[in-house]
Amino acid sequence: MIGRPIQLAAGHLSAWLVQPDVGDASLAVVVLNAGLLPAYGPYGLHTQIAELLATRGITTLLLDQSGKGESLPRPGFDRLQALEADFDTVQAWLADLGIRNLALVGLCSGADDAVQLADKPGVRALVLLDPLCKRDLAFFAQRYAPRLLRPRPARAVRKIIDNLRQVSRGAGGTATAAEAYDSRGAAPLADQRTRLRRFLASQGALFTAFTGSVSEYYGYAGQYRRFLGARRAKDGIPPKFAEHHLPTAEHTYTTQQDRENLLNVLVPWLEAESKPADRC
Amino acid sequence: MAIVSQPVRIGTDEHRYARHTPARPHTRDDYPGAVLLVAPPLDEGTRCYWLLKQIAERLAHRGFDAVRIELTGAGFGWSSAETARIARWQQDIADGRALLARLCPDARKHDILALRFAAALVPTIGQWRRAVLLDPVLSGKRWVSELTAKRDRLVERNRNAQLKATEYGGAVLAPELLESLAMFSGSWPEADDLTLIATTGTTVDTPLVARPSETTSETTSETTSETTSVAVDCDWTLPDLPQLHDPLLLDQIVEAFL
Repeated sequence: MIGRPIQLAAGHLSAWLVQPDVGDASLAVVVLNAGLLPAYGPYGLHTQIAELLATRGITTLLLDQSGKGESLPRPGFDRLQALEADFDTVQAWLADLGIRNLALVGLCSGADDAVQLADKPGVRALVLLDPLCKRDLAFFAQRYAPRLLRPRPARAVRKIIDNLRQVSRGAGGTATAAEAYDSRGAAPLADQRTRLRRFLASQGALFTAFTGSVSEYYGYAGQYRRFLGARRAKDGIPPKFAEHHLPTAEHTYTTQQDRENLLNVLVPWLEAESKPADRC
Repeated sequence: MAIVSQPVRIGTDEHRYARHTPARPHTRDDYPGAVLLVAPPLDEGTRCYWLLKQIAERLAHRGFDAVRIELTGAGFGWSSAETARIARWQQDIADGRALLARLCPDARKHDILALRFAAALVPTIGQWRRAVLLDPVLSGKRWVSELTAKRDRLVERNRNAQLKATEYGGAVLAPELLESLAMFSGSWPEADDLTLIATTGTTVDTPLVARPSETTSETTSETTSETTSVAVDCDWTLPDLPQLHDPLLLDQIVEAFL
């Protein structure tokens, strides 16, 4: 396994490439920078993903998108234009290595970026770690029902109503969207949903994981599936969809155990997606 | 303002890299020198990432070459945290200085910026022109106690957090490292000019910050030293990764090299 820095676009873009000693996977994994952190991710999470994938024959690129990490901004480009230009650069570079299919991995704002690129040709899989999600009735029921069972339920009801009023005013978010929590500059949730539904309909594979740190908008396994359009948690979405709730983990996967719990489900999933026979 | 930095190989391990932010074009006469920027070990290094990157860029604008290094077990080598040892970290800094000499042959003397426990590892590397230490922790025992406090705060915040027995700063460390840290006591670096910068709210105490002016004036008559504190509230025992990213602190550190 070799890890080395690379500079693309005449030095404009910076990335860290981890290649397996032996590997013939036709899919490479591109891990998008989460924003303020360097490309190796919080507590080295991105590096650990890359190194484990390398043991399974998969090439991974840890990318600093324009203006993040070591990469320079692209003057005159808006966020989406810069992101798409970055993607095109990376895709062309990987194509020279013989790799034409990509899986995009992103945590937090990296997940938002990955969603924006879902329509790009060659993107076969998306891994979204703590993406934004719509809060639904089941979310609110799960969140507030236990409070009604406590002593003095009338007081709990008043508090719930206060909370919901705040929610409806947009003070802490809205009942239909979590954008109010969003300081990430993400695309509106409706746009994200449309894009992801299109992606799944075109045989794209989608992996999602939610930590306890996003409990303000995500509360139960199956919520994202519903957000994408399934009426019940178990139906309506093509089979290439995985949703994991890791309520004890923190947003930045603070502990080694948090990271291992994620990697134990993520790496086999990506390995399966990297095999040509699995893509039809 | 942003300047492109170049990855450069460091040391004998072919997979280890530093980042070089080159100085603006200069003549030998107006060349102020080269600075080695040493991130602290473990997650504290990640926390200082933006600060060090911006310092490197500002120094480059002022004509300095700046080389940023990470210590073994941090950055892209996070998975090798269990191989980290004090001697290895000291060697990392020595490798950084050798790299500085190779990349910047015009620099007659070298400057260094080291943060937190990295400051304790500097002295064995020889004489520097300027040494700027941010929130230095010279005692290994003290540093481990701060890492332990951070660990405790994490558990307090998240009762479900499952930590390995020797997990500190987000990485699983070798018991040998923890044992040697408990016995390690560093000293102030040998430098023509020593600047200490303490953030308010930090665990660096006043006697520790005040000490070098006494110590250095006794040991080296040429040495000047300053003690500075800045209005940045940085709590190193916070268990998550808030970025140390403050314009005041940035200016203060850059000024120390001018």
